[in-house]
Amino acid sequence: MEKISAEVIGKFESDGDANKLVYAPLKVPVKYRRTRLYLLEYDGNEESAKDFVKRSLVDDYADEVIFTGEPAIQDFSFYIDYGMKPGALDLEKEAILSSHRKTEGFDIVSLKLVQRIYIFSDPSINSDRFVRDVCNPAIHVWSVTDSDGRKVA
Amino acid sequence: MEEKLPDQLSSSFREIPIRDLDPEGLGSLSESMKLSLSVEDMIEIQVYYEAEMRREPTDVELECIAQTWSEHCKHRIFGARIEHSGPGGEEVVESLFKTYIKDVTERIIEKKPGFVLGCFVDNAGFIRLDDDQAICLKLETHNHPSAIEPYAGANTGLGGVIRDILGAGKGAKPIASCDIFCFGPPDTDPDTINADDVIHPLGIMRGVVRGVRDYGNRMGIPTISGAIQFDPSYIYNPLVFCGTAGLIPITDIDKEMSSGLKVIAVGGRTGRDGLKGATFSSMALDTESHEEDQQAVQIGNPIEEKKAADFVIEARKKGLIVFVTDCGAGGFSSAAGEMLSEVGGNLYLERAPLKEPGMTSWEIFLSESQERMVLAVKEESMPQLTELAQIYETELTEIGDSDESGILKVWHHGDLVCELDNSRLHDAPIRQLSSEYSVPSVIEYDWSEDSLSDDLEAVIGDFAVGSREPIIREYDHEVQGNTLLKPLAGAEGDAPQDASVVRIDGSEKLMAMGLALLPEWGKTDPLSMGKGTVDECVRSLVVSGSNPDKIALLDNFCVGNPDNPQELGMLVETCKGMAEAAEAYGAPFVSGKDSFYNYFETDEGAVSIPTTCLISGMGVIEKESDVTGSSVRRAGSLIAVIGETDSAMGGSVYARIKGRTGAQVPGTDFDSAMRSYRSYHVAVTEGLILAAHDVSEGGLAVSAAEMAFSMVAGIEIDLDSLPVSDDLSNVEKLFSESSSRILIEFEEESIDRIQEIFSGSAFAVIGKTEQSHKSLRFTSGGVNILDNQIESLKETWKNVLTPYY
Repeated sequence: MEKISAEVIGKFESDGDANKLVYAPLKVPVKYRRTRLYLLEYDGNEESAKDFVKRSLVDDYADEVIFTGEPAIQDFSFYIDYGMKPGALDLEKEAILSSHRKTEGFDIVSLKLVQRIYIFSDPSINSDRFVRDVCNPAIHVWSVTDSDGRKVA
Repeated sequence: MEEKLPDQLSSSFREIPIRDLDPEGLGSLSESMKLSLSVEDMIEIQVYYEAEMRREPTDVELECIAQTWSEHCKHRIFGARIEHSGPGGEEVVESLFKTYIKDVTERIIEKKPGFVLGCFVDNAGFIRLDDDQAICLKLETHNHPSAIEPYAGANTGLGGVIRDILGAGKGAKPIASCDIFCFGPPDTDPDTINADDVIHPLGIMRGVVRGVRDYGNRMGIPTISGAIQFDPSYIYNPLVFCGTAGLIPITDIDKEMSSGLKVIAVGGRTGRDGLKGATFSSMALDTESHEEDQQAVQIGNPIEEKKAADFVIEARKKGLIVFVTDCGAGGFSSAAGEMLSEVGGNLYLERAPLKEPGMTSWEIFLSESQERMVLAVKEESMPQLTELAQIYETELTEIGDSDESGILKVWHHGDLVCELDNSRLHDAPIRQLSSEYSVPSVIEYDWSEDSLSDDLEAVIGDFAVGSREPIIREYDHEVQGNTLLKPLAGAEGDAPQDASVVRIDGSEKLMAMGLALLPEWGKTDPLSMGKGTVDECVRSLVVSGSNPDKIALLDNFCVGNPDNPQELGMLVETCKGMAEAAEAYGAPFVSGKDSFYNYFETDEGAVSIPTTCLISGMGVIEKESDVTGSSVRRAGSLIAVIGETDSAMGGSVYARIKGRTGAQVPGTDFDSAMRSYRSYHVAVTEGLILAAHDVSEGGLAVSAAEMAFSMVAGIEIDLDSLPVSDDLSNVEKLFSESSSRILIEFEEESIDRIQEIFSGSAFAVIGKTEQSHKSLRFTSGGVNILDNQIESLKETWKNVLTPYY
């Protein structure tokens, strides 16, 4: 079984005001950037799997995709990864799986969809508030990774 | 206790030993299985299995009974026997539903034969539109799911009520939707929320609005009407009402089950999402709800429902449907229970298409997965239905059949996992409750007139009054091409209207949809709230052009803790007021719903919502030229007010802003109001009314400003001309929210006929529209007491919600 990590980032997007993520104004300026991460486990041909990812999940004109497994953006304070809880119906995932054909040259073993939010700020900002306002414990699972690559939540 | 492990080829159910349990054990069992059944209910079930079935129940049967007897499905509080102690003394209300809703409607039906074509039985209430077609309306709440997951909760709230319409009669066509929300203020300080995992009101608002938007727009159904209330008491329990109106030929309203029919499921597959939604909604929320009740969160798929909807409507047109209902709360259990409750029949769970393997018998039977409809059809119709399902790309599965046994039998891989006598199944014990209400003493205030212009800016910039445009623009209110009076209209297309109006294909008549809720009134005087809410809904429909004698209403209640006698007492008083008003106006209730246990256990004790009564309605407009908007049409016209202004400031936006509670809440004089509404309708049908707007939240000053937001003219009003009940201050004249008042604009040359029409009503010409300026001016005693630029007022009004949405 092989694995692909594909992080998709909008070419024409730029850092946004992080006040859009929270419910009350932030006391210091904070920026954020969103990306989408697809974690694919598969059996079969790697090139075929990457072709499938590029064809199905990436807009050639507006997106670029990074397969390295490293964060697509640097110089962040931390990033939040969140996605649907296992067992919850994820319509995007259903659509991706239903678009895969046996003739693609590989079989999907598992697919995990993650929304990633990079936060850029001074060290006084911690992740708790963003997690509280972005993630919903009823449907989401999440993790927080700091600038040193350590999972801190 | 033997449990069969789930697999694809066998059933998976278990017997639950209850016959030897004592009351404490029965209560514990109900709690551990999350059945939301009381000990009395459990004893009733125990007696049934001991005396009649002589065996233990299966888990499928217990779950089925729990959802059938749940508050959500059975409305047991509205059917309860209530010993009420109120201002009129001690009394016993045998059933709120029967006493204040059903009996009222039956008396109105006797006086208006042929108008109501169906009520309280089917998925929605029907009224006659013309000789051939009927319109129907249904509103549902989806409060608890929306509190847990706002997007999905509201999304499926609208999806569910659309399915109600598809399951009304033999399949009505959804033609318009509405949504009404009660949220905490969007500027709530997050640190003041005293519980973990409670979603901030802003998150609730954004999620709920997007959820409604994404379902309605993708289904191609216009969302034409709505309202939002903001109050801190809704922080922990937001309320989400979703409604949909439908259109159906009169000949397709009646449906009846018979034996020998095939039962088919159409639409989405069955999964674990939404399990126990019916029983979940019958419980209070707490901080654990987000973690524990994940399965009660349903996931919506509007495209799937659109395909099922097109299938159902086409099948109905081809005469292929004998009976249809939706899979709502309780899933197959509820749908099959409704469908097979009279005749009996078999359901085969292994035939249901599943989203995931390994589902147990009760999970398949009770799942509330969305987008599923259940139909009963003749065997000879199956080939045509199968072909239709292929055309509309929806999944059709035969899952059972009807017989003459009167017994609901549910099979799973050859095992009989549920066998219930349907007459018994729907026989829940009647609850015994007590309630009390005492009228609080009224506080009288002196109102300062020092800063009327600033006061008007403050009222018009309050969350209660400000424009809902950022949210309204999220919704497609044009799709289907029939929306004639839109939620925002006027010369600049952004001024508020009272009701929305849609054309009806194939008819000269039109349908108006209106609504009202006044929870702020109910905090002081629930009886007056009940009266005033009905009055405001009826008035909004009449103002927009509806025939006052062709209006039908829906009642939707949300209440905190009904086990608290004071809270239940407020509900009883509200029902009394509502019933009195509906009967006086001859406006029957044709449908409704209630939601209880809207309270939350915070770190500092329970927080209940105020008793919230939403009255919505549909009105028949006889012809297109009767449709009347609320925005000033031209300069040089006259402004008049219909109805009397009194000094009652209780429940008003002005009083709340000034921090003054406990003032007298406005009363309603039904005879006078109905006389005025009929006169107004005469003026409308004679083409004399240019524009009309109800005087409601914010009072006369706000209504006049809102009329002026078309920006075609200034308005000058002389408060000395205002019909008043007493000697009133200018604050009371400007900001009182007295009932039953309408502001109208008409041509000067129509004055004689207008005065003749309104000769029996409280009516006065109070001002004019003016070309020379774009101000809102009020004078009193010949002195200019308020002079605000309309542009500035509109700027304030338009930007109340823009920082938040």
